[in-house]
Amino acid sequence: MRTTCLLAALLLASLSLAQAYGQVKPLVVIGCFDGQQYPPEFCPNYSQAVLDLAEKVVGDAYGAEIEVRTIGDWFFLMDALTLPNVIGGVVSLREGLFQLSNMRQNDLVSSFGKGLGLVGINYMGSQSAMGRVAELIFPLNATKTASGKVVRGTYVTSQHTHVKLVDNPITRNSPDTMGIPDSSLIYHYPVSKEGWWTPADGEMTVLYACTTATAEARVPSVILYERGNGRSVALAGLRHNDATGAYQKDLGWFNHSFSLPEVRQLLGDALVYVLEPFASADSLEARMEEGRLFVEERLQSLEAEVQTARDSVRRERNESMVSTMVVVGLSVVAGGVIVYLGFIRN
Amino acid sequence: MGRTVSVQVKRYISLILLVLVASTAWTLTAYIWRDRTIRLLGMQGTDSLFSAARGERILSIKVAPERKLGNLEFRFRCLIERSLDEVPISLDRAETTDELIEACRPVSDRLAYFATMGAAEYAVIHEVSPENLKGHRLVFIDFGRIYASLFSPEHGNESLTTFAFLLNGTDHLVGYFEGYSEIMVMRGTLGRLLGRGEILDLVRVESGSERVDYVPTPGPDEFSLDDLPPWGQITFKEVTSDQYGVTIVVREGMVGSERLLFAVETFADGNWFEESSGYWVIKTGRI
Repeated sequence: MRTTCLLAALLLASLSLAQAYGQVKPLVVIGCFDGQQYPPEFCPNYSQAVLDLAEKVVGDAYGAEIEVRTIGDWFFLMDALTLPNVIGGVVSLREGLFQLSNMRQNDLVSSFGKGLGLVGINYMGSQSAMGRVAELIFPLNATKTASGKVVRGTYVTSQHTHVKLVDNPITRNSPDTMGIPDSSLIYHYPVSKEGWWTPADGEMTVLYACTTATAEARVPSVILYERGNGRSVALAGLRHNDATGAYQKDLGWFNHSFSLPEVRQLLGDALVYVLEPFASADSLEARMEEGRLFVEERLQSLEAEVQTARDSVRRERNESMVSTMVVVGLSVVAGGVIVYLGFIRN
Repeated sequence: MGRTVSVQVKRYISLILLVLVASTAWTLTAYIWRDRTIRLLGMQGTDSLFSAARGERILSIKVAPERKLGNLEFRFRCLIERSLDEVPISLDRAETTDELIEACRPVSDRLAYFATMGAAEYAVIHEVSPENLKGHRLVFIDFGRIYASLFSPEHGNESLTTFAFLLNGTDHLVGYFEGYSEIMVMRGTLGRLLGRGEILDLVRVESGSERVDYVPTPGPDEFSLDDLPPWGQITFKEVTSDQYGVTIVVREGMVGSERLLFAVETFADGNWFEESSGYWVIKTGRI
């Protein structure tokens, strides 16, 4: 049997990933997934496009101190969003034919309240898939989808019109009216004439409303939400259409709307705004100190365990060495006596 | 003449004695350097699970410590196969572990992330042979201990902590598994995981003559399956008894559609013992 036990440290050397213990960096995570299956499938092209945009806007606004990184695994993305060094992220979910577990919902809602800046796209605000997350992080609480129209069996899009309702740092650089091709826009149904659905906690501001999703009334399409120390922007549309790379045919294929300058502007400004409370030097320093203490404390037992293993091996080896020396010594003496009596004395 | 014969006999006897001394010394040295921490008493796996409408299957491990230990630990991992078509791996053949790790985003992402907090060195990476699939090898990557340190126990059957690549004799990737630090899980509908209470009938933990039973509906002197330690780790401290073991009774019942990889790894004072660890690729009901 081929047996190899490698320590990950060796791998890290080859991956050039090793960093000194305690250098916990502030992190913004990016993950775009296709939720038509479970676990949701990572969409590398769309994620890369969002990453490129996010790296630029975060770098321009807050400097290189904050690292932006894609996470290509749904479960790990959910894990990472609860860790103290993660200050925010952009998460896109195309469709959501699964239910996020109660534990995950509670975990995310709690982490958001403690301080996260998040941008959620499309089904992140879907009630059936995301549950409480769609109420207390991305409060679209969407129960219905305005799907696109099939055009010659290929593109699945509709042109939607979005009108600006509020002028704030997120929308300041965006036009009053935007026409965006979209294959899915989610909203809460029934649409009330009296006002939109709002969460019981926190402060929700509708930045853009879509006038074309339903004939009955306008529905929120871009929402700013603040609760506790968390800040989020939910975008009801912007569904991406391809997961793995047919977009070479058309650079906008994986998301028709993402190549539009006004959409990129809106997404970039939204990310910069939601990260604002956590991105200042003081805030980052405090957060990273908290992260460092958390990691140190949590990893202490692991370090002790590794040390015990090393000590155990060393102790056993030392005992074996001593025993071997004794055996060899006695054997040499016995051999010497035998040689003397058998060969030399006569 | 007689004196010459006597000298020759003495020399022959001396030679025999020298050989005896040397061989005894060799045997003693080999005995001293043998792996003398854990002796495997028995290990039982299975090729299939959930294939019958009724009945049970038994998985078990039993070991005997050969010296006093501070800590003996069985780490149970249960992984579920994902189709290679939908797996984010950019190669179909690999000769080294590094190649596989770099090509698999879920693994490389975790390593990279844990590296930022100095925790990646605690990932465990083993290359082993599955017990019931000769001619194949498994690259087994476990972040379970890192997760157990960083996350609350509620993440135990929610977070993907363990990954495995199954390679055939020509180093082609023929299976990819990802799973949990749990004794046993199975995928239900809408992505829901079936946990211990739904697929196990009994987990018996033995320490010497002492037995502790974990069952779905506990009676007197029994514990609930929910009381089992989190992260699939059953640990014995200050190990002094003559034998330790865990027996798992799995309920049958026509669930599951993917293959499972069931693993139990034995660690003594933090060191992994390959001979006392087992890995089974298990077919499930509908395959």
